[in-house]
Amino acid sequence: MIGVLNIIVALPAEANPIIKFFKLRPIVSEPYKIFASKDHSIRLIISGVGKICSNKAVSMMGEKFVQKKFQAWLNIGIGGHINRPIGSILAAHKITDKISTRSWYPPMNLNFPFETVSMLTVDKEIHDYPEEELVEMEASGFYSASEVFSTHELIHSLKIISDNNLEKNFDGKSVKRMIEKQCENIQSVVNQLLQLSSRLQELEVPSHKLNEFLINWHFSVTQKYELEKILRRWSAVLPNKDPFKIVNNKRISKDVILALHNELEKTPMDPTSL
Amino acid sequence: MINTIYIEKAVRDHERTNKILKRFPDARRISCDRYGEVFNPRRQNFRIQKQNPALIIAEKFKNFLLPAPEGFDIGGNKNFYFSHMLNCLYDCRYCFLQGMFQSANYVLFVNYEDFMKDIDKTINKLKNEETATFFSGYDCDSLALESVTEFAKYFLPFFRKRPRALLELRTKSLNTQVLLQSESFNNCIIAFSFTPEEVSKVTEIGVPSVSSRIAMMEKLSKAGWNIGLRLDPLIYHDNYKSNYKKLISKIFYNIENESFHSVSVGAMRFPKSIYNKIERLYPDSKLLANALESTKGMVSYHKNIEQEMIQYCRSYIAKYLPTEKIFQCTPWADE
Repeated sequence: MIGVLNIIVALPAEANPIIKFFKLRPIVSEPYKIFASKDHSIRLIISGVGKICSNKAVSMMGEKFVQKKFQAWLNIGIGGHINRPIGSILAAHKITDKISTRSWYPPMNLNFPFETVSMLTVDKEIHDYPEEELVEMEASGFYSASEVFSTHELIHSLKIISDNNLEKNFDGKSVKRMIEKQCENIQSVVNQLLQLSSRLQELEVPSHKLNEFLINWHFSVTQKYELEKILRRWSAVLPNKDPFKIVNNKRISKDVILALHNELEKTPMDPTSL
Repeated sequence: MINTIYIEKAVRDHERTNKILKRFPDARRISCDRYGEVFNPRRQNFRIQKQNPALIIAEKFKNFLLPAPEGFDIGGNKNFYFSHMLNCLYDCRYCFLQGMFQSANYVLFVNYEDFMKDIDKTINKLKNEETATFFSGYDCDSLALESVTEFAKYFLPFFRKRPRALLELRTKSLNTQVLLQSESFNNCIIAFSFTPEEVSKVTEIGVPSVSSRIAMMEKLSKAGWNIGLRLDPLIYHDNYKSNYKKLISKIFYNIENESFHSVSVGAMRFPKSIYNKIERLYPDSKLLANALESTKGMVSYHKNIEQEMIQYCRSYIAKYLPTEKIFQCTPWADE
């Protein structure tokens, strides 16, 4: 089962090196430009600048594409810091919205091959940087929208330092170069998120089995819920046995559920495989 | 190894916080206003976080002591539990904490003195001959992170001076230096919980082996500490009778009967909402998939299995200990 990752980037200058590196192709042009890898495991949207834009872009992506649970979300962009070197990449371990003062804490479950930092999302550009926080403009909007669609472990934000107290000047070309240089680091995070997304999807109910049952018998809403539970148990207890072999002579859904249940109950509980 | 530490602003300069931070100089430090900002948000995945939990250093403001859940009785007049920590170092597949908390991160409340004040208030309210039992290992293992928390180091001298308060430290840990280095006292029980070796190997991830825990119990009993044995949860499996018999025999072969303060026995059970959450986290776990039924808001083994297991273990333990020392953690099992 392949993992799925949605990347949210504010500007084309930030997006282009990523699109090139991951060989993404345009799939949608209006109202947002969206790119995707051949197998659609990676999608990238250009959101525009600011937390409202990043929030809207995530919501749009979530509603348009999130058929599967456990999709990963990654915000990539630029930010300023008082003294971090230009071009260095950092992941957020805390994101605070300056206006609302609300904070989010992306769980530190990935192995980032670089440092992590607190990020402060501001509404207007500032150049008088606080002592510790990286200042940027999208992360809070991105995170607050992403947490609606996915588990927190799958939501992260990466920023590349575009300016600091010593150097304030940057443009589209320099941003492109900075991001190009960090593409391998970005790839490490992308790969980890795809793996995690895939692993979590695999733990879900084997949907193909559920669908086959739903096609062959009529289940009420309550029975469907019960069937889902029984199929989950079946995957754990009898992973190598086909559940259809037990029920192929059953005519009504009630008997199907009962037959599966009885088969599970008579299965021995070997202590070495608990 | 802890590589991320969240620190509540209120305890940033607390003496215990500083001590802990010195132990982990390379850990990522993240400041937060209240631990709940990190610990409580929904849509966190306990299973993923359990692979590498962070530590959250926090201050507790209220509910320092809570009434112990039904079935936590080991003979005291009144029963309370208190949790200096939320979550456990170990990863036991049957543990209810997986379904109770949103996050697998460890929360450590460093204001121990406030817990002590509340315990004193409770002791002062006891009537003439009454005693109270204070259980510490409900939301965490009492000793597993002792080298970081120094919980027992602070609380043992406190309870030593309060004979009407019985302290239970419940653990699966071998981290007992603090006990072996101090003199035992009567109103403290070191309670070890066990499942048979075959079950422990596959369901208790990161837990010291059954043999090493029995050896540690023996060492502590020889040092004069009261020992508790907790066969809770009892895990149903093929040959459970012979496996529990083997376990109980081995424990009582190694440790003098007189060292045991109490034994408690209870089958695996969960409140239904907690079970549903754990089962979703671990759909691949056989332990959570079979021989269980849901009644009266609880998920537990089929009544006949539960009764049979409890009765079997109780009667086998009764060969070694008087029945008044044997307690049952699932009161409804008698109904």
